[in-house]
Amino acid sequence: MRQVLAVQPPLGNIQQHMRSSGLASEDALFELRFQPSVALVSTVRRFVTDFYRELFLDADVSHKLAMATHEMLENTVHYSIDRRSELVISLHRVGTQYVVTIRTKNRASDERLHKVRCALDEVVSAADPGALYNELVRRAAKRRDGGSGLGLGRIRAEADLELSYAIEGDTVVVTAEGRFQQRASALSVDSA
Amino acid sequence: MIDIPQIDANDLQASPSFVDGQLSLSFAGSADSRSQTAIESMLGRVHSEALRLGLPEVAIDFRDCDFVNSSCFKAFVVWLEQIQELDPAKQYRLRFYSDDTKAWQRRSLQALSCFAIELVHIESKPSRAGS
Repeated sequence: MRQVLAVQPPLGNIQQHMRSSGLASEDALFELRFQPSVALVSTVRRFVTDFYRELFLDADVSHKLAMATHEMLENTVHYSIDRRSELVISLHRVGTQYVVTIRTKNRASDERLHKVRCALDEVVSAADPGALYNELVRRAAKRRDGGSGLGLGRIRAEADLELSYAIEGDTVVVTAEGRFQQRASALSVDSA
Repeated sequence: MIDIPQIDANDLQASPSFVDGQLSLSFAGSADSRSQTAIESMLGRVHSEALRLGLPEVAIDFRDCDFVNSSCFKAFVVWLEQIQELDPAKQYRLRFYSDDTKAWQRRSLQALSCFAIELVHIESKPSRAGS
């Protein structure tokens, strides 16, 4: 299968692009279509960790977004029926913040689609993500099927991201989105 | 003195030590699904050794850890569950050391504390790189 990595604009010119283009519809966009393995997922996580760190100058924001990216991609590795996954990460600047959107897409079996729908409904609708995550941890202690059931709940509880999803046919699209502030030193570079 | 395998594969290093009656585990690198089985196996051995030695506490140093995915995190939840199921007299505590410059470590470990508040102690320490 052809592996596709599209990065717009080129990574090294992100800051320059944002200065020159003003508020573009998307200030940065990654699109990755590949047959991921867990090893490749970790490679992607390291890459986006560096990217987010460069953009936000904030190691904690970087880790939150990289963790979410990793958990979402690992789900596609484990449950894609054709071993193919798509990852799109977009950043849209609003004032001094970035709206970060992480989206994964994969095909899944009917059984998996049913499970992911139930899991996502619970996580998406949780009024208190932290309380739900603690409940998921209690359930994980009893699970003996190899899964943890923690990844999606962890994204909401620990990464400050909202989750949504769409299922069309046998394809599931999971989206995580949140707003993050750039550190002041990043802003001064950006506005120079 | 202790029979616990170390881990050195797939971006993760984990090594046990037993000094002055203190059993400690040090984790470094990244723990993803490739390391799940190895971590489960290691923690199972640690549990057996802690019981054999009658230890009151095991220390786990996460300061050099950069990432732990949810599958590997679950291994610690299961470990705590095993301790909780012991007779209270045989239960031992887990003391986690987190790097005070890595907020994610304390955030993630907090979920373990909520799960077993009486068994988990989290202690922030300076990063090893700066110590």
